[in-house]
Amino acid sequence: MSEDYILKVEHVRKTFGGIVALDDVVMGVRRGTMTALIGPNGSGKTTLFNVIAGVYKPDRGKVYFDGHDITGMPPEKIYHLGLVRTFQIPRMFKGMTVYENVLTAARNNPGESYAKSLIRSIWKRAELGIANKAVDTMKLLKILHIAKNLSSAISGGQMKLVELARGLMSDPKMLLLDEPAAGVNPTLAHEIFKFLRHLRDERGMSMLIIEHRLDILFDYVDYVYVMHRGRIVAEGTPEEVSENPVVVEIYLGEA
Amino acid sequence: MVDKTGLILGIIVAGIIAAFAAVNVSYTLDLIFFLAFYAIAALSLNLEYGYAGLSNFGKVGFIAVGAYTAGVLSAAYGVPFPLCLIAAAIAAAAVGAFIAIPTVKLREDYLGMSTIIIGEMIRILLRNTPTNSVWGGVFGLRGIKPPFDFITNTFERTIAYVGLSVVLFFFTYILLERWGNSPLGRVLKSIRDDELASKSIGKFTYRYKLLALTLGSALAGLAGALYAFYFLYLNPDTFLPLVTFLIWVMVIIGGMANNAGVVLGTAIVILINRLTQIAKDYIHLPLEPNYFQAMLVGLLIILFLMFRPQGLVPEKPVRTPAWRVLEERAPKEIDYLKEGEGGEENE
Repeated sequence: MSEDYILKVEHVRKTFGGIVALDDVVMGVRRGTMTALIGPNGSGKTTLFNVIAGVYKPDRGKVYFDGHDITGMPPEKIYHLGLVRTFQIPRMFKGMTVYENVLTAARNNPGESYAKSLIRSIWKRAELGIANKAVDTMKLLKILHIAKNLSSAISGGQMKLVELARGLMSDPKMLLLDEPAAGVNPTLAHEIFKFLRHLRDERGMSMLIIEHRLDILFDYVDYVYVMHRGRIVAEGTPEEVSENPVVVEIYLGEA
Repeated sequence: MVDKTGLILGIIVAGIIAAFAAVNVSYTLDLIFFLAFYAIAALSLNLEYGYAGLSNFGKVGFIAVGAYTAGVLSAAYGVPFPLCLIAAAIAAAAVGAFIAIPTVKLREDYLGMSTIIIGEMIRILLRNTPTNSVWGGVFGLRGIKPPFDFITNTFERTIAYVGLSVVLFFFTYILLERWGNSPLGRVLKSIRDDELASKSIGKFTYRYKLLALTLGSALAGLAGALYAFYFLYLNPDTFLPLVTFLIWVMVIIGGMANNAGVVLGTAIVILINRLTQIAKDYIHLPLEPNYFQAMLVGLLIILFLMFRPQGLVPEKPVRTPAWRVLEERAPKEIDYLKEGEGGEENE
């Protein structure tokens, strides 16, 4: 396994009953790149995400992140290694405001223990630091003006941004983004991708992105994997992939 | 933390209690004891359900564990009163943890089913203890040593005991407010709202839920011990599932994840019970008044779930110093709206 890959998926297989959702998937994400995962609906992209993020245990195969074997590791542990994911349909903490959603995602808040939470002076300083970081993050993503809104009472596009803000609160090494621009107008979609590119260039963050809107996606990503029926069928730069006859056939065939 | 509705209702409740006090002091003391006892239990359910989203339908079982622990220690071994209170909380916490280990991983509805069975199992176990032992089986547990027995005047002793119960209620309330208005409160709510998302931001949700049920049970055990030393007699059949449901009604109509609301809900349910008990001497109904009371409470749940699911005093954001940071910085930092490009984020 080469060192410049931050994420490595090796021969992963996952079945649900008789259905083979992932079949011998081999792929990887190079450090500091935006890598895309595309493919028609039902091709196994989200399943692969769930295997990487620890929601599903693969039947076979290994997943390595940043030198750690994370195969079957629970999501909360994977998060602490620096791998954060967002969901295709945003999962808000709907009884809380946008601000609280973002604050909750911070790492190592001492006030989160049952004992220490009772004594404010123990966690006050850390909480103020986290609050400033949350305000910075929300400002960056342009959701600061909705900070006090209940997170169930904002638009779908804003929910996507709140999820992204939550993901960024822990300064992750890598983001797994499941359709970050789905259900978002093209202007905002471009803004989101520009922002992601900014994260890659300025903070050296690596990303694996599932996205259906290839027209937008291909302007930003460095490398593309194409999935079909649970397998990786093609890979390469956006230019290579878009000229690959296999890929064209998959998309036209399914359409 | 309390809005206008809550404040008005709170004043009405306080007024009714004051009116009771003017008529009959002993009756009012009894009422205040029950308010404190149920408020501690309801607050403990608020920690479990209101904050952490754990549907514990076996609350009465943990109250029974606390009551019987205190009762047996006092009646059989003469353990001093304060130690009995502590032991009751520890025993209930231990039972809570033991039950939580396999059950908190279950989905909400299955957790509800398991806990209701556990609550009943505890009652039935207590019912089947030998009648010639200290436990007393169906005859109940007798011989609990009265607390504050150095006070000779029984009326003064009652005042002291009810006073202590109120102090312990305040202790519970402050504890819940501290937990609720800290980063911990946010984590618990995040688990309640979406456990997978909470795990995805690194929260060890299993541990949090386990501790919520353990600490909630400890508080329920404390309430149970207070009950034991108030009546100095325990009967397993007072710990029926109905008690659990009453506590649930208090939390639902008061307002989940709002401690002040839960206390208000407790007062309202208890006052409805007391006032209907008084009314039944004057109003003649074609049906058994006790059933009428149950019907009234049932109707209350339905009406609340339909028209005011958030309860009388709705949930408020978790109060931490973080809000001050937002208040200070937000007005200065929201400049992107003026630039005219970020305004159309809404689709």
